Amino acid sequence: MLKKRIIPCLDINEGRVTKGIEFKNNVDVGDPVELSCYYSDNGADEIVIYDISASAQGRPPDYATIEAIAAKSFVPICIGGGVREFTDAARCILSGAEKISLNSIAPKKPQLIREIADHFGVQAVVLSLDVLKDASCPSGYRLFIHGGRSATEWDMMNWLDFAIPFGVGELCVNSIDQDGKRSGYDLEILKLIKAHAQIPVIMSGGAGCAEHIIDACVSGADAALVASIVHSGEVTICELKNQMSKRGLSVRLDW
Amino acid sequence: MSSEIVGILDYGAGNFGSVQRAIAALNVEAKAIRTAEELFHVSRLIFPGVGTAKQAMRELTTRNLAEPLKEFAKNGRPLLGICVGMQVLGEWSEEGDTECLGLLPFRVEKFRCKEPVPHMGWNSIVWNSSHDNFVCAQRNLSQDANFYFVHSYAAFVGKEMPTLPEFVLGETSYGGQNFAALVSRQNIWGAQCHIEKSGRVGLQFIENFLRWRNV
Repeated sequence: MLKKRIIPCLDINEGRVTKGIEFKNNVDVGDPVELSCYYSDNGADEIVIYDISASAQGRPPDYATIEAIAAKSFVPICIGGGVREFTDAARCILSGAEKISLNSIAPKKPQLIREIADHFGVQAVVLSLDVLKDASCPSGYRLFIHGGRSATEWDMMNWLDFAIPFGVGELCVNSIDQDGKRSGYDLEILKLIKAHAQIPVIMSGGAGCAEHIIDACVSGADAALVASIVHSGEVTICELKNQMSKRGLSVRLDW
Repeated sequence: MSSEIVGILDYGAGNFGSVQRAIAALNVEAKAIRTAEELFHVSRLIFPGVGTAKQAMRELTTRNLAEPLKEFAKNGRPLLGICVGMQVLGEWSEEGDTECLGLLPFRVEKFRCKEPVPHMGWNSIVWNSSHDNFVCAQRNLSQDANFYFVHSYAAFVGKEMPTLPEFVLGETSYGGQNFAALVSRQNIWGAQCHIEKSGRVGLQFIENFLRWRNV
């Protein structure tokens, strides 16, 4: 049976892993290579690396760091931040990544989704979306870009209807309202998307305890992105998975 | 052959680097093999692959590697195909209606199920414990070890079959369809899953292949 995945997310700023609350006030968490290695040896089903300053500084992803991570972490690696051109994506994959997460660039350049999917397969494209509650949008959520700083004209569901056919293999949904608050994922978003899209959904933003992850998986999430909850050391991925397993969710427990 | 030389076929497959890093993590030296001449000098080969079967066969043909690969396998030298590298060990793939290497008697078809395709993520394998290579292949692995899969096509194992085909080392089920997750016939091995990205479990399987001897 296909397992529900736990995916630690490493936000990298100036070569260090950081974590913020509601996308602000970042604090230092550690070295990206050491942390990735630690997580991949301790039950992470995948690792997401977001180079949070790459987009803002207009530079490509840090390929040397990707390579260093891939040399020690033998689980799938997904890279986000700084991928603007097909060649950036191809270089990430050559450096050892399996997937490319597209966020701010996607509304500006949706054909990039197609270029990556055509060459590497749809499973290599993760569409990451930051959404904020907005009553003026038909779905109740508005798409934001630039790490949650800029509103777009897109309603969340309209955006998905438009973007997925370009060749999106998976969605990663970040609730700006919930990010770093540890009060649980926004399950309303999950239900909306699951009723609509046939591709795997990774929930992000807001996990504070195993119960939140279990709720999301029971509601149809295929994977949960975790950051604060595991970076702080208060719970391990192994403990999370044991609790998920006790609740009847199928998870990978041997590594 | 006096000493063991491990090669990794470098024919433009996207996971070549990942396979190279996995082998390095096992402290095994491996050579990148790009030509038939280079292939001649290795005693054991890992054959990566991502993308499409058509693309893989085209690259092998263009680089004059298809026939030498068949010879390599027929000479009894151990060969391990990964993902598309495994698929092209079969006879034919529906993906681009592609004639493959024909080293193992299977055909590759697209998933026809209600679940999302590609089959992507961690899944377990039901091992065929009566397989000749079972003991070697499963060394230090638990029965329910999970492997990482990403694929839209597979060598399906008919549910109506009374017994598994002898070359199926392990099968996995997705969307109600059973397929060969691991194959092996003597020296010819294949893994549909990305063993180079399946954590310690995957590295262990690669190590088990590297330890296999023809007895």
